[in-house]
Amino acid sequence: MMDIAAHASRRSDRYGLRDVVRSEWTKLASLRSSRWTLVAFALTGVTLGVAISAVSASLWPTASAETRAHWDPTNNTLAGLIPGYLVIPVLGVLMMTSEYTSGSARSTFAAVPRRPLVLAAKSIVFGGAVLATVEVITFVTFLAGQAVMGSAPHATIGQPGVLRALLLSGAFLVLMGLFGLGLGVIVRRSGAAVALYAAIALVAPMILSAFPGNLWRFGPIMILGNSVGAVRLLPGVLSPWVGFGVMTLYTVVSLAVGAVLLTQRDV
Amino acid sequence: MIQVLGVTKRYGRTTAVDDLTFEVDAGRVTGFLGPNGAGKSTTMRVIMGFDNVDAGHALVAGLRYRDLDWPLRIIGAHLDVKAFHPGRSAEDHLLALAAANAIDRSRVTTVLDLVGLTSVRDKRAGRFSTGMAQRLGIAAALLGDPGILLFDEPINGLDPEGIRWFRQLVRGLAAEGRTVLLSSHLISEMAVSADHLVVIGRGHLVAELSMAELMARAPRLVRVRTPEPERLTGLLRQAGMTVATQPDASLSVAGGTAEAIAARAAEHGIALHELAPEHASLEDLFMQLTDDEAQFRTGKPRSAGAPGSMNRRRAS
Repeated sequence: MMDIAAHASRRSDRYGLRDVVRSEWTKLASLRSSRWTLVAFALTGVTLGVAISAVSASLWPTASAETRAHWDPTNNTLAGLIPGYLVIPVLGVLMMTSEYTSGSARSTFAAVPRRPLVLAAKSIVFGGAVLATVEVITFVTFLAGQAVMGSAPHATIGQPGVLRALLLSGAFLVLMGLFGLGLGVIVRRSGAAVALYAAIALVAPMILSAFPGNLWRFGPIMILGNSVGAVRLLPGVLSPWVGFGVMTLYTVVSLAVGAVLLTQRDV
Repeated sequence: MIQVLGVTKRYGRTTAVDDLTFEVDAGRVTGFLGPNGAGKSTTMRVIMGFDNVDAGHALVAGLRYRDLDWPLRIIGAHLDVKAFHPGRSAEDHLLALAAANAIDRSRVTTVLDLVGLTSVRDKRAGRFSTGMAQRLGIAAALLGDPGILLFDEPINGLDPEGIRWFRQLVRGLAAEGRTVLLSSHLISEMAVSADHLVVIGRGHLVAELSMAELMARAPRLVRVRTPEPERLTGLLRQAGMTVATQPDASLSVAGGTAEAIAARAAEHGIALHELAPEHASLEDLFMQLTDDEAQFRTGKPRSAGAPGSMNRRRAS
């Protein structure tokens, strides 16, 4: 009754992360929507980053002394990542919620009953795809953006802090995507999970800015725009590495809570 | 083999499955029968490890589902009509599942062919009809060539050709020595598909018996048409038979064989236009079974009336 020959080809005696990663990669690569979202994000990101660089450089000749003192050409080109503040976490949310809304979660967990493995594999596959996309956007935008700066001071990759800002910004967006993935596991409904992300990343910092203590600087988008993606830091913001650490903490909490709930709840 | 051992599952205050114990053996089709809401789907989800239990446990090939080494090679299940992403093709859906359990890619081609979806393998599965979605679910269940198969109401949405195909498929799977558990709320479906029955109602086990045993419990009826129904009725009642007059003026006779009825009619020179043995309807039989078993098991009538309750009395 069982096909013995088919079973002789087993690499090991139990399914593991490697198998689940291959499965999740097949899923991600076979969805046109996620592929086109990443491509559209890359195109708009590069266009936006170059446009913002050109516009801000055009203002350089008439800029105030204060503006010139805070001039950060690297940060200007990284404006190309702004659509990613929304796109990447939403894609992260959908990586998980689409399984629940479509019913494919049952198929997935039938194949992989150790459910946290699914979350780990999704993190690896999605994180890898986002990292590749975002780093391409970052470097293309940086090089093109600096080329259109005209008479304004340029940045080069060799300057202190520039390479850090470029690499870390891409990695930061990966963390935001994984944070969204965790929220998708916790909430399971696309709309509610996206709303929760917006509340945490967009609304909460605005509310916190009304309170003393610069609490707004702990908001993910604030960290990316002002700390991780900056070479010249404004007063009061977190340092890049502290900011990156804070986002790592958010992400770990989101995924860990997700993993626990994934194990405890019914599918 | 599947073992359900003292499983209790509650959703809030509702007890969907209550201390349910039964086994499903290899080499035959076991029908899992009960009205809507009896707990069939819940039990299947517990077997698959989707739902946590409040008590007891279910074993698949002697192990809890989460402890299976290569789950899809041990057990295949088709529980929900749509258990795939609508934007993914049938082939990619199966390839992703195959990858998760290191199943050879050639199996994807094989099962697509088996369920008749080869021509639409690269179409987005979200556009599939219910029948095609059922076929994709059945393909996914068969993907790992498993020895144990679960199907929850699998023929809903299949066309007549598909239903016939599916019946032959499960028969063939059982004949190969596999364990097949097939749920339905239709006893008529079970009569053609199943060898053995596990009957549940309100989360309780009501009966476990072979299809043949169930049929043997059916009262044998004989349908008789005659130009002299009153006279024949009187004669048959004298002989201890029970006679009911049907709306079409034919007689439905219990407690006597066709031969006995014919002999009685011949003795008294009564012409017969029709004499045909027939079974009570399977649905009646099912209701009778569940009524008897429910009383037998609890020793007292249950609170009546929940929709789909197997314990409701027929007006009589």
